[in-house]
Amino acid sequence: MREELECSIDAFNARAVNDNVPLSVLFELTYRCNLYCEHCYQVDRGSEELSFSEITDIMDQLAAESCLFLTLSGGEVFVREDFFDIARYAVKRGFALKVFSNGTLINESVAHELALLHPLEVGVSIYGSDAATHDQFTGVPGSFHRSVNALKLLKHQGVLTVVKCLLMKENINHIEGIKALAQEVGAILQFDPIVAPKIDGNREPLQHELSDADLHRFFSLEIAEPQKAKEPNPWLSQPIICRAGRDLCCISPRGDVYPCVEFPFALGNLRKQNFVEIWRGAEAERLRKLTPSDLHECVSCPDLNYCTRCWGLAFVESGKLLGPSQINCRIARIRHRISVERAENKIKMR
Amino acid sequence: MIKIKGKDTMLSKYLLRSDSTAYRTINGLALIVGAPEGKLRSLNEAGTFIWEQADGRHTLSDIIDQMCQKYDVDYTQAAQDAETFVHELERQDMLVLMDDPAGSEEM
Repeated sequence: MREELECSIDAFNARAVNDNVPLSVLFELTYRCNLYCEHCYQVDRGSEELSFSEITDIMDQLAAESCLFLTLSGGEVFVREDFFDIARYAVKRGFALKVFSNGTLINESVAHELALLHPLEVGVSIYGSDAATHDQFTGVPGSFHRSVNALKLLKHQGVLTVVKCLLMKENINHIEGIKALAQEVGAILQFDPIVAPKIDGNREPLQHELSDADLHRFFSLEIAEPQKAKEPNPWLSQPIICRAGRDLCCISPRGDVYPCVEFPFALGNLRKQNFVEIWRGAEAERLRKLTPSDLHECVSCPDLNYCTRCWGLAFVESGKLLGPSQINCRIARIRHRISVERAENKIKMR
Repeated sequence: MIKIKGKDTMLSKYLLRSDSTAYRTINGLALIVGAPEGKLRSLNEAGTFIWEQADGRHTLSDIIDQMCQKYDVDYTQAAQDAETFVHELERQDMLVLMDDPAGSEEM
């Protein structure tokens, strides 16, 4: 009977994509950070960051456009002294809140205050299973212990936590250790095997990226490839290239609106226009008109069905909206190879 | 509706959306998300009606009365569906059922 008062979540999401409802927004509150990670994709693009009143005005606009999921991110969000004023306002406006942080500024009282806001999750970046490795990445001695302590404090307060680990050549051997750490602190674990160039195209972070052998090893693991992802993904038949700019977007600390956090294609600036004007503006519409069949360099690729092409990465790497992404091409090739190897192994086992 | 004093059924409870739940109504249909696990529920028009009335000032019975007028449905059937639905949302900590209306303790 209950089902008669509910309908499919997939259908709801499909309508959001189709009607361009910005259901999920990642709001970068600051470029400032108290860590010095070499691999970070972020670049301080100058100019004054949005004030509290500018941010609340933007939140009002987002709520009016039916945004539900609001992620507060940085930089490091807790370097903003008004973080809790911002977060409390977000909750008051009815957003489902997520927070991304490096965790180093989360002490017992911060964890308690966060818990009172009922966030959906707090994601904390961890780059190794031990202090030496993690702190080498962050450039700040003691950061590992502070981040791990934050995860424990949040868990103690009943907050759902996520260990977010960017995999790099220096920590690829830490997968099992990080799994154990996440288990110990009661956190969900998310690995990301893609080191992205900086958002301005600077390729410096790529010195840390995984080799083909490392990627092969990672994508052979169950944690990388849940059962459903083992099957080829016929995304060429999908009506859209990506949800970026359709039901999700990103707002930078100075008010630029991007289709996604790693897709620095400026749709407009909230100091010059309101959100609706930008969201329904020419640049956003231009993106939405593009379909997978416009990806001329990709459509004949033998690895196409194993590809998880990221529009933003392709754009950052080459400046082209419709070009391939080098890292996604490598991963597609490797996933395809793993699939063939698995099929061959099955045949041998018969 | 006349309330029968002492009758402790779900129908006489006041419904209140939980603090740990966020939602938006888009084209008349609500999407609810509950912290901390991010449980999602997508409601149809009648489910959205119940959800939006769950402001701590209406009993489930009041809400069903309004539903029957709005959607021209049979009370008994609507009550059965609504109780199952509300029970499930309460079980997931998305709705709070109260004996008294919200704010009445301050009076």
